[in-house]
Parts: sequence; C-alpha cells; structure tokens
Amino acid sequence: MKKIYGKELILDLYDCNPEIIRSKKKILEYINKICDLIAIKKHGRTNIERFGLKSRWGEGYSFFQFIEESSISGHFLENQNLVFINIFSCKQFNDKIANDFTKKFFKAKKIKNMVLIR
Amino acid sequence: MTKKTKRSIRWIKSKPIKKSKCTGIHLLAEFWHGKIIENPKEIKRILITAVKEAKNTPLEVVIHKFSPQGITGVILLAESHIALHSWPEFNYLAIDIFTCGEKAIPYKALEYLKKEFKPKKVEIKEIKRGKIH
Repeated sequence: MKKIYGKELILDLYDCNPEIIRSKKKILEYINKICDLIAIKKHGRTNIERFGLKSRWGEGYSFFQFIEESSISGHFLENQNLVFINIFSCKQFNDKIANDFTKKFFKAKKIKNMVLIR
Repeated sequence: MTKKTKRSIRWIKSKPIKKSKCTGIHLLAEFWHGKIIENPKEIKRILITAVKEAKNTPLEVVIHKFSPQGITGVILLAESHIALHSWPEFNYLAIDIFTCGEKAIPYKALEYLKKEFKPKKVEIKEIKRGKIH
C-alpha cells in the first residue's frame, strides 16, 4: 500500500477581481486567512515579490509561504486576471473549504481544482 | 463531365482542431529512495542549476531546514517556481516544477534533478495550468 505523505490542492482561478490580485496587502490577507481557516501554521515570513516585468506573460505578484506542514504558493497573472494557487500540506486539511474560500476571496468567475494525494 | 484539373479541384481544408493552449505546465514528481541531501547550500545550488537547465529565470531562493530532519527549498522564477520537500525518514522527495512561457522546458529541470538525487523510483504527473480556449 502506498504511503501518503500529504495532500496538494491545485487551484486555477479565472477572471478574478483585478484590484484584489494587484494588491500586495490583499494577497497577504489571503495567506493569513487561508492558514487560519484550514488550520495550517505559517512558518517564517511570506516571500512575496512582483515579477514578470520583462515577461511576455506580464507582471504580477508571486508568493511562497513556508508552513510547518510544507508550503503555499501563488502566482498572479494580472494581464489575464488569472491566479494559480498551490497548497501542499502533510497535515490533513479541508480542501473544499480552501477551494470555496479562495474563489470567494479573489472573486473568481471560474475555478478549476485538483486534489493530489502525494 | 468536367475534366478535373488542378484548378478545378477544390481543396477543402478540414476544420482546424482546437488546440487548447495553457499558460503553464506544472510537473509534480515523487522521488523515492534517492540520495538524501540536507545541506541548504547544496540544495540551493541544485535548484539554481535546475532552473538554468529549464531555461527559466531564477529570482529568489529560499531554503528551510526542519528539525530534526527534512528540508524545503523553493526557487521563485520570473515564470513561476520550483519547489522540493524532503522526508528523509521515508526516503521520499516531493518536487513541484511550475513554469510558464514558451521557452521554459520543465522536463529538463526534472531530468537534472533525477541526476542529482538518483531516485530508485519516480512518479510524474503533468498538469496544464490556466487553459486558454
């Protein structure tokens, strides 16, 4: 039987609210709220930077947050109002709650999700 | 009856197949029973080289060593990120290679990581992110 190390929730959010995804403050708020909501513990500071200045894919924030149980990462493509979120945790968490909250927070019109057991 | 000539033959083009483009490729790899590397400097070197192999642009590297064992390393790219999480107690390494852009070659990064960690068993899943229809 395959040993389970953790669960990875992969979210692609389409047509998100442009103001929210362009706001560093809102993104940091999201990270704090999602960690509280699914009871995962942040470890250290959030690494968040604005990238893509010379990229064809355009500018946007990217973040990486260590959590005690692994990590959360996000990439924001502003020119497409597209957001990619990954939550990988070796502690059990409610992926449906994470999914619904993330969609609501970024006001996405469509969300595509995938849960992988690793 | 009309004689068919090159001019009279009408070439009917079939409807083009809609190829769904995507914004990025995300590879999720699982390495089992490979080399255990716990040195943060070594992990950093490996991540930076992996990024160059994939023709991505490295921006920031963050490594965290857990106690008593285990390491998480992530390199933020202009095109997304590469992350690895180790569980040495189980001889298991979880790798995420998420890259966007036409020039990015995530499989090259993966091949390089295989060479460094030498896993005895590998499982890979490829996910297309941000499908554009």
